[in-house]
Amino acid sequence: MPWWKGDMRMNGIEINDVVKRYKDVKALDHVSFRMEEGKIYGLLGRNGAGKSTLISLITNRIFPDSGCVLIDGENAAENGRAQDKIFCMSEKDLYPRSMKVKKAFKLTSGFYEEFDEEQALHYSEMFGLNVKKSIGSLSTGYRSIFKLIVALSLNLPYLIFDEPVLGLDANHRELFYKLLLNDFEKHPKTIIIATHLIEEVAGLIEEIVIIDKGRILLQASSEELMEQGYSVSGPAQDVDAYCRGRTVIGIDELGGLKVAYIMGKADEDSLGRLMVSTISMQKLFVKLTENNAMRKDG
Amino acid sequence: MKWKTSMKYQITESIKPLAIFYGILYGLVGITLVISRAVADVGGFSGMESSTMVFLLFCGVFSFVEDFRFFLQNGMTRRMIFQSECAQFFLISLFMMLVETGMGALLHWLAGYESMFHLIYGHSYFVGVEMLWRFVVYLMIVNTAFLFTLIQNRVGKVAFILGCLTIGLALVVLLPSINMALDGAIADAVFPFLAKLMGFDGGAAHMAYPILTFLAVTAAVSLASYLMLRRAELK
Repeated sequence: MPWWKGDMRMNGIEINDVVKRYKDVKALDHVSFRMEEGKIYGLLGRNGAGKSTLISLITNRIFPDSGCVLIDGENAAENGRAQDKIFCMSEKDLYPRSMKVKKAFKLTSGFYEEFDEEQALHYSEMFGLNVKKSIGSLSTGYRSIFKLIVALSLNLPYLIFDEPVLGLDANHRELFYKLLLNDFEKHPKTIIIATHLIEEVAGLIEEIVIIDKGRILLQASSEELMEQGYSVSGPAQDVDAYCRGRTVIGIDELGGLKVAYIMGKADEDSLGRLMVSTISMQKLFVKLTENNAMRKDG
Repeated sequence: MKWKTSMKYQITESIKPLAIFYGILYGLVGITLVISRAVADVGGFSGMESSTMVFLLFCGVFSFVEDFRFFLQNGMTRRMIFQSECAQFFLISLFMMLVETGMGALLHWLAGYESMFHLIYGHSYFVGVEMLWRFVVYLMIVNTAFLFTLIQNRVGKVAFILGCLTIGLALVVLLPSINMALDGAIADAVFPFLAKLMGFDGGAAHMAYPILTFLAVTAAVSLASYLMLRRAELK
C-alpha cells in the first residue's frame, strides 16, 4: 500500500504568493490560490497566460523565484513524498522517443505502485493504441492518447492534465471524458484540467481558475461562475436601454440585433422584448480576459 | 521503488550501446588480426582504452537530456536522478574495465597487444592495480562529460562553445606563448608536478598518486554536477 494512503493530511494543493520570471517576462506574478482534494478543476487561460508554468511548478519541473507550492502541507519542490502523490499528463513529450508503449507502461508500474498495467492495456485496446509501437512513431493524437492512458491508469490523489485532448478526434475525446468521469466516481481525487477547449470541459469541471497574464483573474465554482452573468439579446436599441447602469462585459452585434453579456442577475421586470439566456463559460472566459487585457493596456 | 526502477531502466538502456560498441571494436580487432596473420605474421596494436574513453564521453554527454525529462515525468527528485546517473556511470565503468582487462590479457597473449596502462607503466604491477587505474580513469571521464553537459544546459549552447574555445585557445596558444616568454619557467614548474600526479617521481611509478588524483577529480566533478543538477529546470 502506498505510504500516503494512511496519511490523513490531505490538504490539497496550495500556491502561496508564487513569482516566476523568464528573463524579462513575469510568467507568474504573486499567484496565490488553493485547490481542495476531491474536486475537478479547470485551469483556463489564454496562450502564454501562465498555465503550463504553474503546472511545471506544482510538478517540480521548475522552481519558483519566490513563494512556494504545497501539496498536502509539504513543499512540492524536490520532495519525493509530495511528488509520489501527483502525476502530470504533460503537453510536452518527456518520454524517450525510442521507448515502446508497452515498455513505458511496465516502467511506470515500477515508478508508481498505484499504476494498473492491465487497465492501461485495456484502455489501449479501447483507444486503438498499438502498444508495440515506439512513442516517437505515434501520431500527435496517439501520443496524447498514450499519455492520457498512463494518467487514467494511475490511482493517485492528484492528477493534472495539460491540454489532454491535443490532436484527438471527437470520438476519442468523448471516450476520454467518459473514462475520466468513471474513474473519478470510483476513486475521487483532485483532477486539474488545463485546456483551451472550454466548452468541452464545462460539463466536467466543478471549479474554475482563470489565469491571465500571470495572475489569477478568477476562482469560483462552475455554478457560481455561470450565475455571475447572463446574456440578453434583441433589438439594439432595447439592449442599449437595458444595459444602462449595468456591468456589461461584452457586446456582439449583428445587423440591427445586439447581444450583451452582463454581470449580475437579470432584471425580469425590465427585460421587455429582450431574451435572456445563460452565458456560456467560453464566452464569459473570452469576455473576462478581453476586459482584463483592455484594462491593462489602458 | 523509483530508485530500483530507474536502475533497471539505466542498465537495460546501456546494454544495446555497449553491445554495439564492443561488437564493432572487437570485430575490427578480429578482422585486423586475421588479415595481419594472413599477410605476414606480424601485427600489433595498443591502447584501445582511447576508444572506450570516447565512448564514455558520449555516454556522459547523452545521459542527461532524455533521462532528466523521463525521470522528472515519473516524479523523481533531482537528488534521486543524480544518484541514478552516478550509479549508472559506476556500473558502466566497472563493466568496461572488466571486459577490457580480460580482453587485454587475451589479446596480449594472442597478438602482443599492449594496453594503455602497460604502455605507460609497464608490466610489473599486480593486475588489481591495473584494474583500479583503468576503472578510476573511466569513472573520471564519464563524470566529467556529464558535468560539461550540465554546464551547457545551464549556460546555453553558444556560451558553452565560446567558453570551450576560450579555454582551448588559452591552453594551446596563450599559455605556450607565456611559457616561451618566461624561458620555459611554466613548463619547468608544471610538468614535473603533472608527472608526479601520474605516479612518476624518479624510479618506479607510485600508483597511489594517479589513482588518488583521478578519484579526487571524479569527486570534485561529481560534486559540481550535483550542484548544477539540483537547480536544473526542464526547458
